[in-house]
Amino acid sequence: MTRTLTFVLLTASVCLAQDHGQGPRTSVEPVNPFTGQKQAIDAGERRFKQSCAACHGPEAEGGRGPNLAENPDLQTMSDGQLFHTIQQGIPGTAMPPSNLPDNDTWEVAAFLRSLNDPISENPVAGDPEAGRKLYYGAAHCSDCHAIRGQGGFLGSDLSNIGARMTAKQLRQAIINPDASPHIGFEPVSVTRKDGMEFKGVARNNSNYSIQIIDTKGHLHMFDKSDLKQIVFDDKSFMPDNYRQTLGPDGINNIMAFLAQQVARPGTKRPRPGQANK
Amino acid sequence: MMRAGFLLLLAANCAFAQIQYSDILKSPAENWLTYHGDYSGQRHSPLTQINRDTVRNLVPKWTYHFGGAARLESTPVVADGVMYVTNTNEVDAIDARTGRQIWSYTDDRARRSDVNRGVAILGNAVFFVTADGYLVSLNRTTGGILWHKQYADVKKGYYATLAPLALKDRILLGVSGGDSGMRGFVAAYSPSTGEELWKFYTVPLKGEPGAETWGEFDPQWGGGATWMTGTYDPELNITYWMTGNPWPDYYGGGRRGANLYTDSVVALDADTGKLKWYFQFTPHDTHDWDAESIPVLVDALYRGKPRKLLIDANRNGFLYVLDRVTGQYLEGHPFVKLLSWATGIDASGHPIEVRDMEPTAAGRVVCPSSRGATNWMSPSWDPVNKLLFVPALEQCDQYVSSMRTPEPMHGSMAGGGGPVNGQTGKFYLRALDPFTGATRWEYGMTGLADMWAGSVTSAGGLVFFGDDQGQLVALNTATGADLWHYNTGQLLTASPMTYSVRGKQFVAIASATDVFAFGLFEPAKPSTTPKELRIGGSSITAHDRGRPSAGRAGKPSTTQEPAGKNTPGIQN
Repeated sequence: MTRTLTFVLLTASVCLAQDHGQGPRTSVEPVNPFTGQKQAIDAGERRFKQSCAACHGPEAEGGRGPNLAENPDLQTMSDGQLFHTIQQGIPGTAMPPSNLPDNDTWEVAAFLRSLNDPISENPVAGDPEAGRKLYYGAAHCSDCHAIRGQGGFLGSDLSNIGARMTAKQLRQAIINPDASPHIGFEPVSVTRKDGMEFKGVARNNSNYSIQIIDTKGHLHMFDKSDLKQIVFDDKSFMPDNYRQTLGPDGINNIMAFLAQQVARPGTKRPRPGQANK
Repeated sequence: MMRAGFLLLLAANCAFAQIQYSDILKSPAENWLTYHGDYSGQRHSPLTQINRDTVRNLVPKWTYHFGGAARLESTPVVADGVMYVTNTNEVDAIDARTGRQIWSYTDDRARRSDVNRGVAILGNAVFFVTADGYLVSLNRTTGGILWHKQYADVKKGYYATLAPLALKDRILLGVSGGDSGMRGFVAAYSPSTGEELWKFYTVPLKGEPGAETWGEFDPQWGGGATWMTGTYDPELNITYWMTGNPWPDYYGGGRRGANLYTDSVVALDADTGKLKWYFQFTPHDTHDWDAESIPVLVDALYRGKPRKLLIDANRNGFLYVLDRVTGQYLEGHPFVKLLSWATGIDASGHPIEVRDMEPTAAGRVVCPSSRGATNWMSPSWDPVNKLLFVPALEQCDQYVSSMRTPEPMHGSMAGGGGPVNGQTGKFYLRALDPFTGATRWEYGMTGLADMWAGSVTSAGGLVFFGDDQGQLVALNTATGADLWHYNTGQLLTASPMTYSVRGKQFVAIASATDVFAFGLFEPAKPSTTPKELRIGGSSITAHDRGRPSAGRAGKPSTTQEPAGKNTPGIQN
């Protein structure tokens, strides 16, 4: 119910149910040598635009073929299965063999991974130190969002955000925050029957009770029958003008800083066919 | 260091919201602040609203579902009207009055997915362990990560399931893994950084006292896991931890000797981790009889003198009474009838063992079973009738040994125990008088001996426990009279607890996949819905948010202020 924005975005991105024709599993799973490498990802993107975008869209957002960004089916494929699908196609569907050479196939696969893997596992353009200064300073991110205990409480905790969002999801969350519902962080003002008013965010809400964290950080758990009025604000506390106020460099810098925020630094999302070490 | 300083600074701003050591010393009452409810392990609540007269009106108040759960083993912890319950690598905070979620935290990078038994609370933080040996500190109000630190390495055979113990200004932990080789320990960590403060290993290295009880066995794989939360005597400043089986479980030929300090209770100085004394229940165990049942601390008149006692109904089938100041053995009695490996306990506390009880390649029937006469399911103490309520299992096993030392960390125990001719055992809740060994009364359970549920007592004169058919049951502590039951419809693998919010007492238990909370019946009142408005972007201004100071000046907190008029604070 009150999982974070990340969860909302991830579930919202489920948008295909097409068989992707998983390739055969071998006893030793091949591993893509290019995963997370900027040069190879860029090359893969160019190759994708030439060979794949006609069906899957220029940003892999989907068209005649399925969306391949933030795609749960793709995320659960092993490197070998992804490679096989790109190179051999999916028999019985409109997905033809690409017949790309092995190297190019791995590059395309690395590009597709970059659209699905968390930002912490991908190259980022910005300067994380400049991003840190913005986060705790001029951009006021830390007024609401805590990282390892430093920061506010009216927005989601970002201590593990680098492991939870792709680059695209994170960019969207920064520049267009009201595109997704703010479940767990909806601004709310409640008035008790005795006239006392409480403002904050609703961590949970049902017909009979509401749980809010107020602007001072106190948790309140009300019965609805003890309340006179509730006012929800559809617009979140998150400013919606970061694109203008921070500019492309500022946003890249904040993203570079957030990409480093991982609860378990150095770990990667486990991939099928690979030991999760 | 910088972070620690910053945290301290912020913490000072909201001292009113903290759960202090002094609060834990007063638990349980409205709150239930530790796995056991308090430091003594008695699992006895002073609450009386639900009592022998009113329990007939006990009804379900809410159910909280854990998506994806299969086997919850958590005892809920309640502080200021918020309940904290764990699943594997997950903590959820729940409005304890309504069952509505406040936050949920999952560590999706954990490399194991074993069960979890609960949280500790200290300051404004919730502590829990991931299955792969990380201690995690979360903000109690928001669920945000404060820090995340590995304390036990899966590459050395460790994993983790226990609820941490918050004690003074440190967090105490133990480890799992004794069934496939590792070296058990109890250790203390800083609640602000996770830094290790002290560590006591349950298997001595060569040259250390006790090493002579192992022969040539490599102590790195000796076992002695510490997978259940210990207890603590604040006056003596001693913390008591139970230790698991020596490894390999079912073949002792490679580890000749008593195998200290496995299957023991170790009494540790809470400030230094130094061993004050130990008592070994099962020397040179070859039946997997981890001594993980809770060491219950009781102050009582003993043979006419006030005495600080430690009482343990052990997996090996005997109920022990020790002096917890010195570790002196006082008395011991069998509490199951199916007990064949020893005829009694001698004056020094050693079992009087029957010959030829070791597992063999062909198999040998020994009682109790490898699950033990009891196990980790919590007993509870009734201070009025001086009774210990113990889930007791009458069962024997056919014990088989492979007669060789297996490779560590491959899940091999060099044998095993299994039912004899398919006979499942039978569970009883027994009311034991530890000072005579008498069973005052017992409650026999139907079922297949699958359950792992413990018990809780209250000043209402009741003992609540889970039975072997998924039912929560309430009995009269004095007589065993059967007063109330509720079928959860699920296997119970956790122990119940009780708490109170806004003057209403609840009893709660985690089942396989849900938390159930019960309270006294109140006729439903027609709900009055407040006026609800939805607007876009003007009602709550930056001023209301207090930006930029909102997140800086304050710190999220869960407070128990008087719920008076015009008083902000927790509204429960």
